[in-house]
Amino acid sequence: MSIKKKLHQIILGHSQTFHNGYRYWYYLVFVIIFIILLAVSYSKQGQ
Amino acid sequence: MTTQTIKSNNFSLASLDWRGLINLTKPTITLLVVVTVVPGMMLAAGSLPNPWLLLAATFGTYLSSSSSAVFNHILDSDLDVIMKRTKSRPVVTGKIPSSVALVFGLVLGVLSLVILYVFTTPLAAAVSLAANIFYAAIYTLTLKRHTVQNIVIGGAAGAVGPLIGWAAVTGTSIGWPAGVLFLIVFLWTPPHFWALAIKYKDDYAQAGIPMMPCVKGLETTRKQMFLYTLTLIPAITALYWGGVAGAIYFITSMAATLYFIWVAFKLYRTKDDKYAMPVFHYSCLYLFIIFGSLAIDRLVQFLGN
Repeated sequence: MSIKKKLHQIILGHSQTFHNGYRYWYYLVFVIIFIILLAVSYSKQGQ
Repeated sequence: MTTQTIKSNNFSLASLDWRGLINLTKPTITLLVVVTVVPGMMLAAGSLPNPWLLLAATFGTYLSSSSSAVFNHILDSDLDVIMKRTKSRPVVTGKIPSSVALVFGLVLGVLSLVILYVFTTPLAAAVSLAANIFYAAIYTLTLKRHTVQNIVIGGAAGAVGPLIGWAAVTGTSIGWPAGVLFLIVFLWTPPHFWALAIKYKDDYAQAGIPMMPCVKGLETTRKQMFLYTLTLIPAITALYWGGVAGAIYFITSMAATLYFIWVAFKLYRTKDDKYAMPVFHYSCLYLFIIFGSLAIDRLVQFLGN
């Protein structure tokens, strides 16, 4: 399967690799961004 | 735990179906709402918000949105039992008794209000409460059952995240950037929801819910979905032209929106409903891209100053 097709399947949630996981992989990205925001915000406090 | 034990009033806390309780909160939808809170706070603060305020606002909104979802399960159970898609929901099957769900929803609602009121601002708590009442009483009990524009108007309830975020920072007023973010989610809702409604149109028709595909037909629904995706262009770009978002957000959100328009157009042009669910799945990712890119854009901007 071509990389383009595989990527398309992952984005649209049709990938067997990400079976039922399409809803969750970008939630994980959000959590990572959120933790980075918290960490940076915390470190900037008092500066 | 079986349905029979519930129905024979043998319910106890020890036998509570915790997975069912979590399902009541519609965690995936709730997290979508939370994602929209953070950029609202960043735009309001003009810098990185206080970390404790960030935590309180997101957690408070999470609980508030969860509370709405629980009430929705209770109030919609008469319709859910008819639809194949929803007939296995915990309140319908009896895994979670309505009384337990009601207490759970009230606890979540009160807790969210206390957190937002005490640790953020009264305005944030008020906006959150208004959204909850609107979603449960006006959308679920009235709009959903009586008008084809149900999810268009009801979309306002799901779009309040940025308003809560802004209000949590300022406490006095809600600025236009938060209004634009609200508008983005509001305009995003019809193509998102109608994609699902196309797939489950028979289900909705059987339950007598006047969804667009059942009332106006598939052709009109596909056309309206495509038109709604087009309206996202001015909403998306307004933040950039207004000077509150930078190039990272602009380029990323434009690319994501053009792709959203493309998948909606493909559904409209081909008249093939196999493209409906791809629109639905992409629409979820789309919201993450828009609000995620805005958060990263602001973070980069703040760190550069």
